[in-house]
Amino acid sequence: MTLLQICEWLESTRLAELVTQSLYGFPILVAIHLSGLGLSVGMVVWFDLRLLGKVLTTMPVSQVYRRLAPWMVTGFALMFVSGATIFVGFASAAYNNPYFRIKLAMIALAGLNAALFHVYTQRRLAGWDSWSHPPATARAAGAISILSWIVVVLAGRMMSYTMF
Amino acid sequence: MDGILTWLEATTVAGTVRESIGLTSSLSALHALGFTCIMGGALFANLGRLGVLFPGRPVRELTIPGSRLIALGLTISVPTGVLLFAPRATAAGHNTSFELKMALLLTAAAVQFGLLRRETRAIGAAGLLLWSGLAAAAFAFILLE
Repeated sequence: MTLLQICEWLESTRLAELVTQSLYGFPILVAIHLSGLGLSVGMVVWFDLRLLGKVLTTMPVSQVYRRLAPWMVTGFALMFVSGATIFVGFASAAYNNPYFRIKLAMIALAGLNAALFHVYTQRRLAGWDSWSHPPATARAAGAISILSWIVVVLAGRMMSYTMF
Repeated sequence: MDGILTWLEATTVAGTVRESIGLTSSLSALHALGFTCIMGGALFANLGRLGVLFPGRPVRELTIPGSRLIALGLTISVPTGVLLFAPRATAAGHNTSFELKMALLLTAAAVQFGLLRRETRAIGAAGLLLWSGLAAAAFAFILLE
C-alpha cells in the first residue's frame, strides 16, 4: 500500500465524512487547532527565549521549563489531535500539497531539536541551570525551535489557500 | 463610513491584493504569525498577573516581555490585516464577527498597554478574556463567513 493509497483510505472513513460533511465539524476543529497553536507555540517561545538568555534570566532553566511544561503539553496535545483529525478528512489533498510537506518537515525538525536537547544538552543542565546566558548548544536549540515554529505557522496558513 | 470603505476597495493596493492569490496567502501567513506572537505574549503577561504561571516572581518580569511580544505581533498583524481587509472592505466592514474583532482588539490593546504598570489579578483576568475573545472573533470571521 502506498502512502497515497493510505491517504485515500483515510478519506473513505466515517471520521473523514464527519470532518468534511458536518455543518460545524470543520470550523470547530480548526478553532481547536488554532487555540492549541496559540497555547503551545505561544508558550514554547518563552522557554526558547530563556535558553537564549533573553527573559527570566535570574530563574533556573529547569524551573522555567517545569512551570511552562503543562501549558505547552496541553497546547501541543490539542493541536496534534485536531490537526490529525482534519488531516483524515483531506488526506490526499494534503499529501500532494507542497506547504503541507514543508510544515511536516519543520515539525519533524522542531521535534528532533527538542529530543536532542533533552537527551544531550539537558543531561549537563546541572552545570549551567542558573546561568543567565546558557551555553552555545542550548542557545542554538532555542533559536532552531523559534525558527522552525515560525515556518510551521507560515506554511500552515499557506496550505489552506492551496488545498481547499 | 461606507464612503471610506468603498474608496479603500477601489484603491490600486486593494486591486493588487485582490488579483493575487500568492500575495493574499503570503499576507495571511504573516497575519497568522502575528496572531501567534500576540497569543504568546497575552498568555505570558496575563497568566503572570494572575499568579498562576510563575508564582512568587515579580510580575513585571512577565508583563514587560509579554507586552513586548504582543507589540511585535501587532506590528506584523495590523499592516497585513489592513492589506487583507482593503480588497473586501465593504463586506468585511459589515460583518458582525469582524466588527466584534476590531472592538475587542482596541479594548484588549488599551487594557494591555494603558494599564501596563498595574499588576492586579483583575487586570490579568480581563486581559486574558479580551485577547481570547479577539481570537474567537477572528476564528468566527474566517471560518463562518
